[in-house]
Amino acid sequence: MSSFPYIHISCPCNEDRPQLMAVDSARPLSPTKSPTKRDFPAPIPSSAPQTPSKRRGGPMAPSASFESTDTIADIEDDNDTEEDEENNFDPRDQRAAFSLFPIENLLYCEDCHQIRCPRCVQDEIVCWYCPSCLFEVPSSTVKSDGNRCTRNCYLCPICTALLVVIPVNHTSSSTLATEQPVGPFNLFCSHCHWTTSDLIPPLQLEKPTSISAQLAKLTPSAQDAEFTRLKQHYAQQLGNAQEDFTNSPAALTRLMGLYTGIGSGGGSHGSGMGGVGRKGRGVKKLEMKEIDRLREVIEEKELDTIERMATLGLDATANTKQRLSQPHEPRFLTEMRPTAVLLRTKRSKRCRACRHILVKPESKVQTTRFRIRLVALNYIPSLTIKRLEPTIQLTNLTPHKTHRFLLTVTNPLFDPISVSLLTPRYTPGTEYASRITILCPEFEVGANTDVWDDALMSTKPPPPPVVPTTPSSSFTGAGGTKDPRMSTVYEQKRNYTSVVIEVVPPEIPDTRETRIRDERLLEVPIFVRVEFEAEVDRDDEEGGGGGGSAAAKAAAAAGNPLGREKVEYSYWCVVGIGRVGDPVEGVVASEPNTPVRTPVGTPVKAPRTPGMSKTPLRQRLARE
Amino acid sequence: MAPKRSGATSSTSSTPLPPLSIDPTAVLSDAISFSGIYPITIGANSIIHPRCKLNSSDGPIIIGANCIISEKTHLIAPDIDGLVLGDFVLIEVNCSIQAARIGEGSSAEVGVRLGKASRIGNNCTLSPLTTVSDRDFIPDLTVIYGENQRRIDSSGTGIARCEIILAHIECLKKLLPNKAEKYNR
Repeated sequence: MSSFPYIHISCPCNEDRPQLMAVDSARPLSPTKSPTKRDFPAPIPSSAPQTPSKRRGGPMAPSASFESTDTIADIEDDNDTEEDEENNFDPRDQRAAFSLFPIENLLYCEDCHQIRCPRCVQDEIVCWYCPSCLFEVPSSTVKSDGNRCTRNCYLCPICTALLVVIPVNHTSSSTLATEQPVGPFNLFCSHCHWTTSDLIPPLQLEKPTSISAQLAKLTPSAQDAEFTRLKQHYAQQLGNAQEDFTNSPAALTRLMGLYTGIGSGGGSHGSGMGGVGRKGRGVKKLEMKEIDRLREVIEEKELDTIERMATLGLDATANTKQRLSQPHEPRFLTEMRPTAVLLRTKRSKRCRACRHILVKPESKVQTTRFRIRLVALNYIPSLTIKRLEPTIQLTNLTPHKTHRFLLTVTNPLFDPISVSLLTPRYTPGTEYASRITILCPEFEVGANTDVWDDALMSTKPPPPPVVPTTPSSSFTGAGGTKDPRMSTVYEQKRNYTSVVIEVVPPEIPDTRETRIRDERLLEVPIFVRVEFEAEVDRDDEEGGGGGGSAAAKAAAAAGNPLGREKVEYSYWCVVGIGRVGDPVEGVVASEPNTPVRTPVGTPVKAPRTPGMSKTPLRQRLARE
Repeated sequence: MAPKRSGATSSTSSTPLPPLSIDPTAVLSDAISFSGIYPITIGANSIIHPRCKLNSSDGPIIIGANCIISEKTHLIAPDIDGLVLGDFVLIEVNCSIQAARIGEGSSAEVGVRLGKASRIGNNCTLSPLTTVSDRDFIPDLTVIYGENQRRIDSSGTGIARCEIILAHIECLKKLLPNKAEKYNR
């Protein structure tokens, strides 16, 4: 498990697979963009499959009513019922582990308006390249020659560093500079100084170029030969088959008999084994069996191996990793061969539901830029958590003690958002439930404006101030019955807001020894619901790369106040706070429904006057 | 008049320099810290980078010809027998060397730690961040790589590496300002 604290976000693919598949059928309705009011004067059929907790727009009122009050009420009503129905997300559920990802690993589909995890995107290979010579390998070559660099890139079998070509007989540097070095040549590892001359028999190359071809000639391996033969065989079979489909109905018989050898006649096409196969059925049978044949142990050979081990010592044998990296599984270091560098790929990623591209790298190997990269970090507010009291040990939380953490919601969007955080009162899925309280579950987070905009444009209306839902009497002080910090945000800056979350873990026996799952692990599921008003996407032709919110911003800059659309979406996330430790004397459980207040001085620096919290944020910042 | 000492460490400025015998062809850069009482010998054509620390408190230090000692490296003589570097020795950045002997043509890469009174043979290569324990003996032509794995180098590239070091020294001589006279009395 990663180090505490961690925050993982649940991808909607956890909820129901078939729903996502069904979106496909809905796609043709709006081929370019998501359903918006303008696209749909008629209501979107309510049967349109949408994941319950992920909605943008929601069922719209007909005839594009821009009076937002109705629709908002609709959405909220709708949403409330859904939440009531919806079970709490259980981070301990076995299925949950498959859909929880750190936000950095998630993508966001602008067309489905959903988070996309690595499980619900489809990878497509853009290009193959060698990481060492950065040469792009065409996919046809990859198909024919395999997934390793076919040029001059080889790795040391001992230490996996890159090999260089050096002449075997060293000449002084003065002559080297003037004339071409003369052979024979070695492959040399500049890291561990292994050379191909260390092999038995020594491997020396005639020229310093086209190493692959030379090596293939010098080190014929049974595996390679087998592979080439099979490849030839299948290539020929494929050629025959194509003929068959056009010409002869006997193809089926022949294909059926391909492995059994019964139909090897197959009319005029003959057996497909090339020159070898022509000899007859028996030969072919043998060839086909060869690959899963029992491995013959020759006693003399084994004795010889043992003897060599005894004389050379264990240092001369290959370790498991070295052995498995070579196709012929050599026992001794002197039998190792240089390994060609594995190719790598650049991949683009597609949404599985709507087939839109989410990530597209530049196809040139040398550039590391991306043409399209819709990462979730730019679309959904990200949560971070930190300790309020530095004395809290995350790996050793004290049972029955109230631990206060600061939960910060950061807004990446260009519109201010209002966030509701919902969490079960007790952590679900365990018999040792911890009590969780988010002190201010509903708040606003400012827009992700330019830092300089914020500082320079004082004429711009400030983001709506924090509205404490409790009356100002709650600020009477710590001695009161009500917590003074209840329902106030802890900190609010340009595009982030922090609230306090309290966690009271119970006494939990240490079950790591006896059970697979760790009961002491304290994970808190939080349901994040975000609402904001965005510009309606007007430019439907705009490609996926620009970003919907960027378009919205452009529209706002154009001074068009119309076309605002209420957008709402939500997701579950799981906060791994820490591990509960052993009970500490003196900290005991109090009555179940009030969190224990341990004497930790004044843990929250919130001597905020009620008047001050009502002043607009900008003025408050200026005053500070 | 006492020579002005390097500004690398203030502690050395109060104590006198150890007896130095520096070959006139050696290149010593600014801000090298010499400390101790035993003599320090630097051979012909050797290069010492800035911010090296040579400590001869417990024994003499002898650096052979055509050596390169890189930045932030500490050379500490382990005992009265001293620390002897052969010719063509390359010590990379941030090493801590308390060895008794480093043989000819050996190289210690970045961040190598050589334990007290360890002995390194000729033409050895110590890969980055490898360590040699105290009083260990590394035979000739050993390569220590990876996680302190060892193998014997049979590539026969020793001469070529010496040539590379010569070229390296040639280049450094052009780049580094020579402040050797600063340490000569």
